[in-house]
Amino acid sequence: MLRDLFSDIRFRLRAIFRRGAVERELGDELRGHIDIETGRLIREGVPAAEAQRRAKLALGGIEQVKEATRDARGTAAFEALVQDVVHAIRGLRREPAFTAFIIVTLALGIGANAAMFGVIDRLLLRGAEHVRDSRQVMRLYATHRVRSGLMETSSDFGYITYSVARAETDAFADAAAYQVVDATIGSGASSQAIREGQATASFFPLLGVQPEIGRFFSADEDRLLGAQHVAVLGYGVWQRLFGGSEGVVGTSIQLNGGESFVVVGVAPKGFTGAELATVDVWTPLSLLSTQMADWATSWSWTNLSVITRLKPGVTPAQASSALAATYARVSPHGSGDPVQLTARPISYNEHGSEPVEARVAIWLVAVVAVVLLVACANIISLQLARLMRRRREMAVRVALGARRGRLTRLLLTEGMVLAAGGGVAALGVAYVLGEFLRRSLLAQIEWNGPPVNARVLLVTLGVALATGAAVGLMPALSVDAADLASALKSDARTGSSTRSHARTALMLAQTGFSVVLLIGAGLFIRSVRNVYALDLGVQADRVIAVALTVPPTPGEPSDVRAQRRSRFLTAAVTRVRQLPGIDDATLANGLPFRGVSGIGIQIPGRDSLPALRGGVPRIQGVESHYFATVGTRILRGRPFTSIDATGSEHVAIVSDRLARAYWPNEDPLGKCFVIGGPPNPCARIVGVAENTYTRTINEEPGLEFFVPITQMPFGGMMTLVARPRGEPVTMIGPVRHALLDVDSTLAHLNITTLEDALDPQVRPWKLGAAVFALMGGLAVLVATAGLYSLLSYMVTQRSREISVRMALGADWMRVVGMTVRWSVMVCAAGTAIGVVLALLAGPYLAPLLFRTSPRDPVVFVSVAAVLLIVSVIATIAPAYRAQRIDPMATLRAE
Amino acid sequence: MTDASLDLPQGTLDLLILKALSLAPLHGWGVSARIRQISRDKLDIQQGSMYPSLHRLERRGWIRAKWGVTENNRRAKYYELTKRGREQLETESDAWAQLVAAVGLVLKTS
Repeated sequence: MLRDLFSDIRFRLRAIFRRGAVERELGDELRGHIDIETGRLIREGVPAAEAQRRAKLALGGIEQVKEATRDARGTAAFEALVQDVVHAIRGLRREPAFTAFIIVTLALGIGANAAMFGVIDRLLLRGAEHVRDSRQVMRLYATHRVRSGLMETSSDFGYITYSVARAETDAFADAAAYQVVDATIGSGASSQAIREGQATASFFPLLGVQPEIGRFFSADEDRLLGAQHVAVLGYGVWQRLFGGSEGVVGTSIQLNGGESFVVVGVAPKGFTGAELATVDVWTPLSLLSTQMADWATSWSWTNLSVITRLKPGVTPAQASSALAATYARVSPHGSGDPVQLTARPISYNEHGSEPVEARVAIWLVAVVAVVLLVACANIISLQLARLMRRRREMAVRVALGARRGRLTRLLLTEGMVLAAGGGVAALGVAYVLGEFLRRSLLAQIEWNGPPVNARVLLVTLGVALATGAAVGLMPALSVDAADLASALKSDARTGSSTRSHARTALMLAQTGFSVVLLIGAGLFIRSVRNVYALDLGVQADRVIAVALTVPPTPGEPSDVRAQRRSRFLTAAVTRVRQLPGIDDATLANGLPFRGVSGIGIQIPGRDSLPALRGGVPRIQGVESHYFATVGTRILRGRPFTSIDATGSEHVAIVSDRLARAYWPNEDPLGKCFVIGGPPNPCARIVGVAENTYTRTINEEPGLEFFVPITQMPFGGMMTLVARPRGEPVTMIGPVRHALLDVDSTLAHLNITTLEDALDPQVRPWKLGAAVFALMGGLAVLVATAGLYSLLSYMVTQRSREISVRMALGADWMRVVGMTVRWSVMVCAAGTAIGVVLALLAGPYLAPLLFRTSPRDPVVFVSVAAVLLIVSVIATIAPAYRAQRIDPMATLRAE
Repeated sequence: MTDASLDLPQGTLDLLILKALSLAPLHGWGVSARIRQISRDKLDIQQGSMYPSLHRLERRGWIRAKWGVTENNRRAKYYELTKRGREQLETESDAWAQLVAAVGLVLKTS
């Protein structure tokens, strides 16, 4: 059986690849047969000519026998296919411009779809890598009602919530807490900025990840107030800095400028915890427990994300209600301010919904799909035109006996050949576009592989096949016998009315979609501009900032270290302030967009405070120079002075919003509030500052207050902020030198403008703007080229009629007038349709925009104008060509 | 000439060709002549239908083709049975005999 198959295949291969020889042999064999039969008949006495005739008859017609034999060879179908493909390629090569245009269009359309699929695949479909059974892993969210009746959701908690979740053993099999912060690795000149994940020991077993080498840290190494300095390296860092050597386990690394950690293991490739952004090293969370006395039990700290794994058989709803019940019992926020605790899938972002990037990406997938449809519609329209040019060829084939199915197969093959060419080129487009999207717009995500991986390849293949089928079949289906018959009579009429309706519909669709895409691009561009036009309360484009850390020397008593640190910081700020080109400089503990902690407050004499949108107020520890350096105005009262810094009285400056919310109808100056809770002293308000944005641009600003640095209730990263006189970027170098002058052993100094810190938040809109603009531009290009070629075809079709009219003395403008009118009307109608569609889609797009109405008139009007101008230009050119038709030559050619 | 050939199902023709070739290699014309001869002129296969069957049998590896020279010094393609072809001939012959017997049994019963 197998041997039969083997020889079968060998036979067929020979038939395919040595077709010429095989055909010749067959011809020889059959002629030989006729000769033998002829000879026999002659020997029987039949005259030679008659003998040959009878011999041929006996065989039954050479061609038929050949055909039957070919069929029996079993390669007929394949041979026909190869023939079709060769023929299709030859036909396409005869029209290089047409073919090139189509292949480029398909490449861009299919490639864009493949690239966007790659993005969506990572952001939404695949989720975090190395998470076992990720549907059972939940992130905790707290939802509370704020004054205006809205529900506000956040996922920031303290260690205490993690402990509560851990104890909820009915609902959860395990719980873990973590946060990811900026850090540095190495020291001195060779240090680098990295992302450090600080997690509880339960983090890794909860997710179910296995280490690449070594192990993760144990519960013992993550003990509160007794955590060890151990670290797990990320795969990327392991390869980059340690060459992937297994000997890294057991060695020490320096983090944050001098803290020594022992490497106990390496995480597997692509592991990024419960989120998608790269994490370079993992350290035990409990190392932070020494920062503050009640770090592990305070309800005021809210910096950590808490994730849990559901117990088998427990639904998220059940778990949420169980947890919420416990939470209401033990949390001090319970009274009068119901906090709803829920568990949601870990792919959601900190506000409990899908991340903005993912939502924008979904829209973009729709966009590129639409562009591909536009491109296909255009190509089908072009193919129809080309088909009409070839109607004579088709008619001849029909006359020679080709069945309609054969013709359909021919056209389908052509479509497939075009799609194959486009598909291969599309892989290149997908790669380039994918890299562009990753580098410029989604740089923080761990992509874990090239832009064109197996899944993307599969999708490209599928899309190319579908496109080829569409582009091949649609024209084929509209070819029918009646048209062919009339074609043979060299009648140059335009097609039947049904086909020109189709043409109109296609043109309307293309124009409409182009308009929708361009409007989308315009809205996103406006959003980006609005973001940058926002009054942040700080002049982010005028200041540069750098985090300064003073690592402890081993064996150094803490008060000595505190003094050393204070001396260094003072020296640093003074040195930088003295630089020429620097207007002012200051230190801050907590800087907008670079990390600001929240802490609850209490006002003596009041039982409860109004809940504010955004959660607990944020606290920044600043000096007297702060407000002038970052450009935050003091509305009432005064900024801090040196007396506040060294004095014993606790003071504070509140934002305008806090002042109005907590002390409505009174002057807040002179009032006091307790930061955290008793027994902390009551801080007296000495000033009111303008509202600033502290974490995201989506928040309601003004949820912050300021205290003198020396009065910060907890330690933390100190940031040096400087205000250069001119362009901030130019002072980055001098500031770095100045700081290294003060202390040459400093770890890597990552000096950036404050605006850079804002950048990740702006990226979704930039992403939207870039892709919509790209795709919109492509759609317009495709539609314009389609319009141009369509009109050229229409003019050519009617050239006989035009020639007659012109010969009879008509003006060319009048003659082509109908065509031009049709074109302008269709484009105007298409634009109108596009505008209506965009208006309808408005409410769905609105959440993705920033301070831009989805019905922004400026955008709509500009896009409509562009489309109309472009369509007029595309119309004039072919119409102008009509003028140059030579009537006599055309009529003679008929 | 009897036109029984037109009613022969494909499998039967293959069987006849294999049998014809079982004695000695033949070219296409020779195969049809041999079949006519052995069947005492009762089976006259349409000569044209030989060739598709011959090529199909060659594809399945049951016969093998070689170019040779006829007694009239003409070039012709000769076919001969392969070992597998011989095995196939036996199997098919048995199957055919059984089929004939079964059908005959059915027809005899009234």
